Amino acid sequence: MLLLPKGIALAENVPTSKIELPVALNKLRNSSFCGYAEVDLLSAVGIFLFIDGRLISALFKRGDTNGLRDLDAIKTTIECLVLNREGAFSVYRISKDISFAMLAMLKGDVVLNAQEMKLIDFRGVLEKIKTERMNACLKVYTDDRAGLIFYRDGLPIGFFHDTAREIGASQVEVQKIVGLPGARIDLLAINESEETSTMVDLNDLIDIAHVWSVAKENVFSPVADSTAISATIKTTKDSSPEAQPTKNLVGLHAGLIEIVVTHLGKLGQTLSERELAKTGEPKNLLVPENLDELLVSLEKGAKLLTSSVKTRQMQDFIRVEVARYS
Amino acid sequence: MDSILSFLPKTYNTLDVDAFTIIQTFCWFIAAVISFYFSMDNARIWTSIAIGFFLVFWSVAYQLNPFAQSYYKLTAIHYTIGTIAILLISHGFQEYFIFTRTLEITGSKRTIYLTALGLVVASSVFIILNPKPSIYVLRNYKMMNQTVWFFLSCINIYTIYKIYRELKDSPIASGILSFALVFFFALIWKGSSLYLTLYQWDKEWLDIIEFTGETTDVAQYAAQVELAHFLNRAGVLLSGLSVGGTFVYLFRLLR
Repeated sequence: MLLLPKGIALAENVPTSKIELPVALNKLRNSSFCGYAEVDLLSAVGIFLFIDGRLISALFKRGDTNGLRDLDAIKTTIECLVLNREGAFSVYRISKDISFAMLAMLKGDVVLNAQEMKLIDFRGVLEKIKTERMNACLKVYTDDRAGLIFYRDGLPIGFFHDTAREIGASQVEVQKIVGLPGARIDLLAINESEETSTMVDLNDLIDIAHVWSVAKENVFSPVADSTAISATIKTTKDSSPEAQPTKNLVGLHAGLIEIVVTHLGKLGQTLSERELAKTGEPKNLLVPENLDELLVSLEKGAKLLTSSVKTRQMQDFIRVEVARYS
Repeated sequence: MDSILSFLPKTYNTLDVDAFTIIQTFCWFIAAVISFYFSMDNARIWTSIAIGFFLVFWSVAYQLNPFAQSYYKLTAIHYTIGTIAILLISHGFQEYFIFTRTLEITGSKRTIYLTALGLVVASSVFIILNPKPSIYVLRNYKMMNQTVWFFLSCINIYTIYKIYRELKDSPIASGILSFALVFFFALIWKGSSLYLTLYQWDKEWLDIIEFTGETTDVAQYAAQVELAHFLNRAGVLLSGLSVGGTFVYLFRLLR
């Protein structure tokens, strides 16, 4: 069973028919979110893990299969979501350390897989985690129960089990699961650098909004394979702006509109669309003068809709968003 | 006062001031200071609204102006300033509504300041150039002020509702809605005052007929008169307090 830790619920079991996944994920990105979004499609689940607003990892898991990761997971989750709108969307905020440990759970190196407790030296495993200063997720489970222990630099930072409402500091319940007959453990560890700024942000590799719109337009098209994803993957930073396909910048306008709407409300959409139409093509925004002009125009309207602090915050987010495309 | 400062014009009528008058004028003074301060560092639309409320203080302050009781032209100017105030305020909210539909903002704040000053000066010149208003004419000026306020308050409440509908999910929405409360209190204030004036139960008319010897039915309708007076006092106090409170709230929202 896939057991995910529950942090502070920002949204819980919201019908997927009521959400636009790219919009929701964009909001999490813009708010420097730490935690994960879960798309529960009854027979499958999609997980999007964020650290400081960066989409660090994605997982798509159906049943007890290994599941798909990162770009494939994003694509498959979107396709399944478009086909099956009867799912539930949840967002849980967790601490940065737990998010990091959860990264191990999603795509860490398998150290132990389904090892029976009675066949291993559990104390030795814990000692190994400590001495090697692992960033890891230890899962203990039986057919009926499951528990998680999160480690950061070899030290336990959180405990969670299937009957818990949130991540806790007490290991009592997880230890009980360890002692149950037939208990097994999985240990996954990750060796990523602590600097999350060096982690790849999947948003830089794939235009989720574009994948979403393509999936909605071509609902019954054959399932695209990884090579097709490359058509929507953003080019690397080394390529010149002229060589960058225009469609990669389509997401820029959508992203900017989303930022403005988040800060100004519904009227922000009309305001931003009008001002963006004046700037012309998305690539024009890569010119600093045009961007400044846009920011000044948005500020004029924003003055009547929100505070100056939020306006400045909105402008900062816009600059960051544009910088990601330049 | 004119005996202390001999260069000042003489006052012929004493100031009849009670505690309530001082309190209400003080409330509007605070509202005026906050409004004017608010107008300085904000968008042009807010300037129109804020300057309008600033001018309301000047129309209310005539009650404490010793010269206003002696020089009726000054009293008339006070009433006219009050009328200009609500025109400016209403203009601001109309512009705000247009903004929510078109997202266009044109014009400068200086225009608002100069227009407000120009209107006050022009109406003052008009009054000065005309004959000294009698107490009957002054009452007409007052009725003009009350009528314009009453009907524009109704319109403003509806305009604020429409504005709120457009920017319901914006951070400033609750601030806009607070003005509906302000105009509700203003409606009570000016509405009750207009009611008394229309039926000739107001203080000015009663003062007039004291000299003319005419009769009045104010004693017959004491309950209505008392209620209207109560609403008038409550309205002027609450509108002053709510204006100050609303601008303070807006200040926090827009900071």
